[in-house]
Amino acid sequence: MRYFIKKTVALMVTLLMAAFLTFLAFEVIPSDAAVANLSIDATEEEIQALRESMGLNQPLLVRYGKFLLGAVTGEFGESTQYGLPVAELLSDRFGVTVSLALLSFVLIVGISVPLGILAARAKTKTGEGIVAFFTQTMMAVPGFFLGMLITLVFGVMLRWFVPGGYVPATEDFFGFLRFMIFPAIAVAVPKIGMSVRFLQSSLKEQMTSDYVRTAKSKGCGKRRVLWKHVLRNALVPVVTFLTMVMAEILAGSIVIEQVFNLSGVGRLLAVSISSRDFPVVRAIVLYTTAVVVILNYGADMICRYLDPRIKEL
Amino acid sequence: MKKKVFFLALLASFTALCACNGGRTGEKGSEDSLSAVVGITQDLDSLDPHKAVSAGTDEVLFNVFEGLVKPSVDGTLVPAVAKDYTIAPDGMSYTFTLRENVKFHNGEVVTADDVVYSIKRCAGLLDNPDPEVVVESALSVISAVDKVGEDTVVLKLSEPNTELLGFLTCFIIPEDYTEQESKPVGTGPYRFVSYTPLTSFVVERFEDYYGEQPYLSKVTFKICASNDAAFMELLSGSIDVFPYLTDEQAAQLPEDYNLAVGSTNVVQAMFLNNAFGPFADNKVREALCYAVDKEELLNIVGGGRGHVIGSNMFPNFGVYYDETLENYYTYQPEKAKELLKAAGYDESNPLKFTVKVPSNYDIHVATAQVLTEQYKKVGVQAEIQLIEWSAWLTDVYRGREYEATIVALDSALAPSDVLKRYVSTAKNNFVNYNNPEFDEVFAKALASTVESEKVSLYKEIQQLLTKDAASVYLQDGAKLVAVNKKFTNFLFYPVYVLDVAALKPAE
Repeated sequence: MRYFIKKTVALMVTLLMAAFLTFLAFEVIPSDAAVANLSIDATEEEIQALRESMGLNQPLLVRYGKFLLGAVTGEFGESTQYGLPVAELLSDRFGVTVSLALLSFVLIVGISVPLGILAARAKTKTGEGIVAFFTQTMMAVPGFFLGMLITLVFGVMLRWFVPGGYVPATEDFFGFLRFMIFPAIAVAVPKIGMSVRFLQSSLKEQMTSDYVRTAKSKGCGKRRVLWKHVLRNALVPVVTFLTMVMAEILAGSIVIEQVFNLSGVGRLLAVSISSRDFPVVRAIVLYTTAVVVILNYGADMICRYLDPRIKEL
Repeated sequence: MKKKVFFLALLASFTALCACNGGRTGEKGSEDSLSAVVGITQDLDSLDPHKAVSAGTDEVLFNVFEGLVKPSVDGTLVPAVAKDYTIAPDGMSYTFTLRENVKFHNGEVVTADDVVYSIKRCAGLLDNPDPEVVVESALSVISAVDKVGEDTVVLKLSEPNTELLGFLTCFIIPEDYTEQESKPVGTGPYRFVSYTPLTSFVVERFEDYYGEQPYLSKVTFKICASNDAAFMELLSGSIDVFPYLTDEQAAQLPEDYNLAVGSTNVVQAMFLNNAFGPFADNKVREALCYAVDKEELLNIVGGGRGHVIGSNMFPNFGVYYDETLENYYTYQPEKAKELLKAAGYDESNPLKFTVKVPSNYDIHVATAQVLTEQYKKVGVQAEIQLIEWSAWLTDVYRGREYEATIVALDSALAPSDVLKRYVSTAKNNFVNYNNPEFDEVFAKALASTVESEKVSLYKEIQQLLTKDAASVYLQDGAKLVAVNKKFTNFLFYPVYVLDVAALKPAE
């Protein structure tokens, strides 16, 4: 219980700080929403009038306070570019990003765990070489390039999907899956390479530890040693790593969304920054911070379950 | 071992899932020949036409809204919501007679009150102006907009101006309609259906349109994340028209697309801040003009398709355009070196400056790279600094904190619009050009009511800019458009519009 309260307080403090830093960042970068929303030849008076009506002229702390009050009541204001409530704008993009994240996460876990175990068993030089080659290649290919390659091969040449033809799952589930699987693969491949490596080295390290020798000498079968003892210990760093991956995808896979023309949170963030749409940017930053903190919390819980020796901090 | 089998089965099932559905997807584009998908790369910045800023938005909204007059393909202005107009001989007033029974998309008839409201809104003359409305500064000469009878509107000006018509393309909207930003209503050939941010803008044929009915019943403007993403979709056949092809993309265009080539109607230049130390010297600016090999530039950045310009105007201005200036500064590196030497720059003391380039425009970035290489040959060190568009607006255009910058400027259908930035007192004179002779001739040209006199005055102005080497004028770029062979009749205008009403199905 104490642990839970501590974590919740930490979450609040992190959110407050992230929000404040976003305000500061927007204070520093040139241009603002008023300039971005008027024509290039707008007069200084026109810009001032718009700043006034948008409330951009108030001091930083006043704006920050107002924003906090709003955030507490779930009121995030209106997008300066789209004139829509931020909550509405975000929730529409949310589904895209979350489904992309879940789908690619399933791929990453489903493929890298068996592959990692397989790789850890590769004892010969050639076996290790092959694993190293494949994981290295997967990690080295940049996501956007892989995305374009996938679009070119499966979208343009083989026509297995229509590039940019995203349909929401609520409209046509199979159409949705048929499209989303490709961006999900593009997201997953480099991460699979990394987590296979992670799992392999973690497993190998555990396999040479004393308790494995003890287990073996008291007559445990190879299988039992691997599944009951080693894997459980080896998973701890992998779970932490996978959490980071999940957070990264959920926080907006900007590049992949750009390549596959998905209108997710990442693309919205990129567009909002360039149009100085501050209400949207700060909402996304808050959301991202919350995702990272909450996922880390979840990872802590899983790790504590896997290895009860990890004490309350 | 079992795990391995499971994994392979998983992979195989995904592959099968994708493959078995594959047949249908490729045909989607052709199911209805009366609708088209147009790829655009910029999201709309507002659906309220008077609040929209970007040229990309105006380009699309052109199909939904109309002004009293509208631009035509040959660069003249043709009556739209107005049936007829007269300009007083002294250039002090404009009288418009409205067309009978023009309907808004909500079914209501356009009244003189709607017209008065719309023009006042654009000119910033309403009693309670909405600060988000983009006020057209050229309309500031309007002192009064009056309704005279049910179908006549008179504009009175505070000073003579015979070029105002080019700005009266400002869109007519219903008076006091409050949902313009979410459900736009205009009088154009297409009516609004739906808009999803970052996804699409959909319009359908407006059956009550007074003019010729468009051929296509439905047009979807698909908002693509990037030029590359859009081209991928085009390759797969899900986009029918794409108006922003790059030169390389044009070369890879699949067989079922035609390439239409027009001009972008902009002045692309390396604008020089005339107030920046070294650039205050005419010799330096001239040297920079002589050191540019425009032919090579055009070949590299546009496959040789653009049009070289020599002053701050582009060829589609017709009679006003002075084509003799195109060859005023030819490529003469030796002469450039001499001029630089005379200005006090040589190998031991080379001319150095920074070029700020908005990073979202590939064409300007490429141009900057070519220019810096060409300048190296005459011993000038130009350094490229990429900046974001919003930062460009604040720092370069408004703040004038720059040495040189490469952008392209577009213009309304009025010669004064493209040249007014060089008037020494103009708020947007971001090149800090200052020549009293220019100011004088410009004022004369603007007030002139005799066409032939106007033409010669505007040519004189262009010559002044060229002789003074106010900036390094480069090109009016080529506009490359991919059009699916299912459609014909893609029209190019001398202004920035994307006319989908003209598209016809090919028989």
